[in-house]
Amino acid sequence: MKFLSVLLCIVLLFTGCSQDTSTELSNRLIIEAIGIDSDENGYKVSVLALNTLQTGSAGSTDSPDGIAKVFTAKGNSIADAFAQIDLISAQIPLYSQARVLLIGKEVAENQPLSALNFFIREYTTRDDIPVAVAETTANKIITADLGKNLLVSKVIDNLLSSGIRNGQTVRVPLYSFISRLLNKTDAAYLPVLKVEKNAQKKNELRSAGVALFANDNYTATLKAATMDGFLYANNLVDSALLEIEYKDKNISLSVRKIKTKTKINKKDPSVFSVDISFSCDIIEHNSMKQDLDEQDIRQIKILAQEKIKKYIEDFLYFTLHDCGCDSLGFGKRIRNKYPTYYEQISEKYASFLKNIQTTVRAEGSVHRPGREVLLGK
Amino acid sequence: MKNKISSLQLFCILFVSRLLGTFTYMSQLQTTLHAGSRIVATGVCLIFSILSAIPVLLFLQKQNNASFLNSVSILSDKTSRLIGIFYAVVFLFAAIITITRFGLFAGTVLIQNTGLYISVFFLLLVSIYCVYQGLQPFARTAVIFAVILLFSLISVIAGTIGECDLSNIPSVQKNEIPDIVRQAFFSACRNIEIPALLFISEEIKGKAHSTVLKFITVFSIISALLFTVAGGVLGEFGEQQIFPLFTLTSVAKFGLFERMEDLLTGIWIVCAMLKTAFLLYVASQCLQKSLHKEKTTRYAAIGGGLIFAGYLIFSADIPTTIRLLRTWFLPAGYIIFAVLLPAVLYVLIGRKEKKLKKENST
Repeated sequence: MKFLSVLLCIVLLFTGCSQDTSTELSNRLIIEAIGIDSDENGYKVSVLALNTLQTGSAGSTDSPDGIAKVFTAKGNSIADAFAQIDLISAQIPLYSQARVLLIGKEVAENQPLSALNFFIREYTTRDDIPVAVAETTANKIITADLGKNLLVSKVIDNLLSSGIRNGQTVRVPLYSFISRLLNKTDAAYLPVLKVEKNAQKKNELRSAGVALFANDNYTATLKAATMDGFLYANNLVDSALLEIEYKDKNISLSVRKIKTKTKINKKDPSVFSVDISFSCDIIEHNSMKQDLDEQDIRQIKILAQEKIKKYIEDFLYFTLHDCGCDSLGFGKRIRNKYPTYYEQISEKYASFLKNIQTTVRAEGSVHRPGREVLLGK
Repeated sequence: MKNKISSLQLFCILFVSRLLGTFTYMSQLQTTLHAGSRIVATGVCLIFSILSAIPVLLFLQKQNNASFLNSVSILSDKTSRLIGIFYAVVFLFAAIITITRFGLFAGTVLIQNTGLYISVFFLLLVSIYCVYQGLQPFARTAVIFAVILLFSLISVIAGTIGECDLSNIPSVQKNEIPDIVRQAFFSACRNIEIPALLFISEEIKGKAHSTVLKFITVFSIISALLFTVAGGVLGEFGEQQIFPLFTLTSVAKFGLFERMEDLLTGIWIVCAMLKTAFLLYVASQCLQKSLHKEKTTRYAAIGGGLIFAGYLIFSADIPTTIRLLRTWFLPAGYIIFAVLLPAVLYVLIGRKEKKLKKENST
C-alpha cells in the first residue's frame, strides 16, 4: 500500500514533464493585461507584462519599465500578433495570469466576437478574465502612466471590482460576455474605461459608462442615470450612493441589499414586471439641525423608491425603444416559458422589444435613519 | 482467501470510475442537446441505467456473490472459457477507450504541449501494480479519492452557484424528446462498471445489487446538478467548449482558491488510473479464471501492453475515434454484453440448475 502511494505520487508528478513547464519563470512573459485594437491589416495587440528580466528590485529604478513592460505587435490575427510578441520579447507568453482584457472602441464596434475567438479556443487563457472596452484605444490605457510603480492592470482590476460596491462600473468575465453575445436575443454589456488628466494634471483611470452590444454589434453606451438603472435592474450592484432632495436639503443615502426580480406575465409574453427591493441608510443630510422625524423618514423612503424606479424606467425605455436592446433577459424568459412564441418573435426581435410593456415597482426601507429618529427629538 | 471489499468501497470504486466520464464529457461532439435537455437526459439515463442493470443485478442476487464464471461453467467448461475471454476483451477495449478519452481531455485542456505517451505508460504501470496488490488496497484508495472528489465537486458548485442564472437554461421542446432519449441511452451504455461486477462478485461483501442501485441514483443526481450549474453559469459559452464541466471548474472561485482546475488535475489523473486499474483487474480475473494458465499479474501485464497499443492506435486518429464513439457501435456492444448475454445466461443457467436438481432428486 505504501509502495502504491509512493508510485501514485510519482505518477502525479509526471504531468509536468514537458519542455514548456520546465522553462524557468524568467523565460515566460507573464502577461498582466492584454489590449486589442484594430489595425489596417488585422489587429494590434498590446501586452503589459511583468519585467522578469530586470536586475535589481522594482523600487530601485525610476524607470516605468521597472515593474512591467509593454509590448506591442501587429498581426493578421490575434494569434499572429502574439507570435510577434513572442519574437519581440524572446519569452513564451503566459496568458493564464492576465488580469484584464481590453478591447479598443474600433474592435468593439466591428463584431467583437471574432476578435475574441482566440480567447475562446486557447485553453491557457482564463475564461473568467474581466473584459472592458476602451473609450478610444486599448493601447492608450495599457501604456498610460498612472503613477510610479503602479501596474495599470491592477488599477483596472481594482476599478472593475469596485463597481459592485459603488455602483460606478461593472465587472464582466469573458465567459459571461461571450455567452450573451452568442444568445439570439440578449444584449451583452461591457464596462467602458478611459484615461484622463485630473486637476493635478496626472493620469487617472475612470469609468466611462457601460457599452451595450446586440447581435455582435456595439449599440449604445449607458451613462449616468441610465447606467444606474441598468446596474439596479440587473442586480449588478451591492451598494450604491443615492442623492435625493427633500425639503430643499440634499440627502445622501447608502443603498444596500438590492434585489431585483424580473417576471414574465403568465398570460401575456410581452408584459413584464420588474420588482426591486432595497434597504438604505441615511449617511448624510446637509442641515445641521437635527430635525428628521418619522414622517420625514417615510417621505425619504418614498423619494428613494421613486428615484430608483425612475432610473429603471428610463433605462428600460432607452434600451428597449431607442436602442432595440434586451439587456434584462426578457428574451430568455420568453424562450423558457413560451418557446413557440419565442421562435416567432426572435427573427424580428428588435421591433418586438418596442412593444414590451414593463411595470416597475420599487420597495425600500430605511434601515439606519439616524440618531435623532431612534432616540426622538 | 482474498479479503472482501465492503459495500462502501464498492460504491466508491463505481463512483470514481463513472464520474471521470462526466468530467471528460464532451459537449457538441456527442450531442446537439442544449443544457436544459441534457439535464432531462440525465434523469432519463437514470431509468435506462437501472433497466439495463437488471440482468446483472438479478445474477448477483441469485448467485449470492458467487463467481460468475463458475456459475456459467455449469453449462460447459468451454462456454465458461469463451465467455471469460470475450468479457476480458470487452473490458480491455473499455480501458483503451477510457485512456484515449482521458488522453484527449488531458492533451486538450490540462497539459497541452506534452506528449502523453510516457504518462500513459506509467499510468498503466501503476495500474498493473494495483492488480498485483489485489482489489482490497485498490478499494481503500478509491474511498480516499472518492471523498476528495466529492469535496472538490462541492467546492466547484459552491464557487459557481452565485453566478448561476437558471434563465440561461432553455426549457425542453417536444421535438427534442427523441434526441434526449438517444442521449440518455448512450450515457446509460457507458456504465461498464456494472457488468464488471459479475467478475468480482465473490470479492464483494454484502449485497452488491443494492450498492449498484444507490450508485446509479447518486451519480445521476450529481451529474444533473453539475449540468444544471454549468448551464446556468456558462450559458451559450459552455456550448462552445469541448469540455464544459472543465470550464466550470476553471471559473469557480472558492474563498482564496481560483483556477480550481489546476488543483483538480492530480485528482483526475488518479481517477483515470483507478478506472483503468479496475477494468484491467476485471479483465485479468476473466482471463485467469478462464485459462488458468498464468497468474493474474501476468495477464494484467499483457492486458496493460494491449491497452497501451490500443491507445497508440486510437490516439493517432482522434477524429475517427470520436466518430466511432458517436455511432451505435458502443451502445449496441453494451446491450449485447451487459444486458442480453447476462439475461440469456441467467435463463440458461437457471434451466440447467433445475434440470440437475431434478436428476439428483430422482
